[in-house]
Amino acid sequence: MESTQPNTSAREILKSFEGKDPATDFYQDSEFPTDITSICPDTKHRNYNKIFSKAQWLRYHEIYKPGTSNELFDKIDPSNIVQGIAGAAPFVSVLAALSEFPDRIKSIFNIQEKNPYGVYSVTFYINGAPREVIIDDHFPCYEWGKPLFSHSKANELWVLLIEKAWAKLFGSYTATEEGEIQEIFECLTGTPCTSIKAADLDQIVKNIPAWLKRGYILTATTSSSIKNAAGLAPAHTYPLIGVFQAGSHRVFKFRNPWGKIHWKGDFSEEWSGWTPELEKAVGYSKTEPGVFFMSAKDFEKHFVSIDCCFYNDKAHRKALNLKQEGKKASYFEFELKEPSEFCAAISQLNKKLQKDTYAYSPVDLFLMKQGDNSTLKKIGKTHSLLLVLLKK
Amino acid sequence: MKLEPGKYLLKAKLNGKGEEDSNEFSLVTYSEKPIKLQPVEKKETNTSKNFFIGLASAVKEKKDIGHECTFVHGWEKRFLFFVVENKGEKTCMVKLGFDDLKGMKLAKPFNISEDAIAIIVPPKTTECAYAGKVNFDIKPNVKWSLTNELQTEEPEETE
Repeated sequence: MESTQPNTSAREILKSFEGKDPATDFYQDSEFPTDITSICPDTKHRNYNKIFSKAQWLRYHEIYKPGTSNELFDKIDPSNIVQGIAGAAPFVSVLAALSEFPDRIKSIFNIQEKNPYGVYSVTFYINGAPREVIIDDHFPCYEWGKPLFSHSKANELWVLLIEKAWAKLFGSYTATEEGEIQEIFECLTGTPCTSIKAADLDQIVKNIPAWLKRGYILTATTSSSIKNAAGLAPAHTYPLIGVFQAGSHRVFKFRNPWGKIHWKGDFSEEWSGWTPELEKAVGYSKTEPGVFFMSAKDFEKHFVSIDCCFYNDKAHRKALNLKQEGKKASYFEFELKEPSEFCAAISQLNKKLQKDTYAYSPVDLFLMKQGDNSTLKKIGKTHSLLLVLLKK
Repeated sequence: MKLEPGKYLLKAKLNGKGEEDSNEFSLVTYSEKPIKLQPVEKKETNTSKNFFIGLASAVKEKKDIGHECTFVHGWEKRFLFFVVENKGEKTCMVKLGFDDLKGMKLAKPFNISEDAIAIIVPPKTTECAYAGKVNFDIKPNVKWSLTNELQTEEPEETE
């Protein structure tokens, strides 16, 4: 059954299937058809003839046969996420970073239980405003039945669904091949983010431990000029999950979503300097899958930036859609009765969906506190970022 | 960042947009405690004035310019600001005449000529004026002379 009812929620669509036979009546999203245009509209793409043109679309239960573990969510373990053939590496990195907090992944999904009709939806934040993206459970697969794109080693459905919703948002899977980490965080969580240059080690050492303690989500991106020989993928993003001071060593702990390449320097598995004391101080265990450790010195050498998503499970979020007249700034007042953590961001139109000449604009975002006699005191730049309004 | 209780003003602006570019954007706030964002007009906020006066209030050594007035000046990014506090009982008029304003422009509300501004400071108030850099290739070397006079009261009009 096809459904293209505008402004109908996934829950309403699911309800409309009640009592029907899922073998013959199931949801097919006509806005994102099961053909090659949803995979890759570009006939010159490197994988178009070799792989995409031969792809078959299978429903979830056809990929993971009954009897195998197949749930919408199981453990939501970041080490279970496998990147697919498209280069949606930044998206997969953000998913891996978010998966450190399973409830935050679940909160993106509006339907949180598997259903036989294949109706699902997620909420993404587009230009600050929440938007439901509805998807079905058909996924592009290789001729031999394995999913082409990102999936879960534990056969969980959520990885397939969220990447499909992301692809639908941009028009096709291959349209998601590039992306800014901050854009993706903002779109998936609605939360302001910031970026710090890796060279600014003092600021990193000062802020990161406290940010990790507060449950903020962090990633670090490698330089595009590093060689795979170092055991790091160039221009790739790794979830940063710990910073430790162990004696004279400052040690960073990362998740490695790029399974085939492993860090080979100091504090790696092969490193001969591990002592029981050091292992204890940083929580190193050879049995913990998909993580690695690195010295601050190597971090500074190989990485270019850290992105931080200021996720707070209890935060109050507000988004105002604005249109600037000429060069006129917008001003807003607010009052706090009690102390509060606060951050703000400006989201801009996504350049991927604008004219070639469109560029992100520098932004002014100033927060001032009103003092006696109405005087204003600038209390620091709030966290600002560039982001996403999709215009189709 | 952690904010203390109080009233806040948030300014949001896109810079450098081309005429053909979209000027749509959104402002997102994220806070531990709920807040209500109230839009205000720039003129209601007196942002520049209140901001520069706020900066001057933090300066410990203020210059005495007579008639119970003190004077502070300073740079804030591209702006050169001048703040006069009048603790007296009479209105003062502070005039600044500039010798060299290369690469700078005096803000309109205060200039009485191309190279002079006047700051009228009623009793028990603080007022400010400012100039902004317009040419970033020129290193400003701004010099001025200052006079402070009690403003002559205008006779009350009688019918």
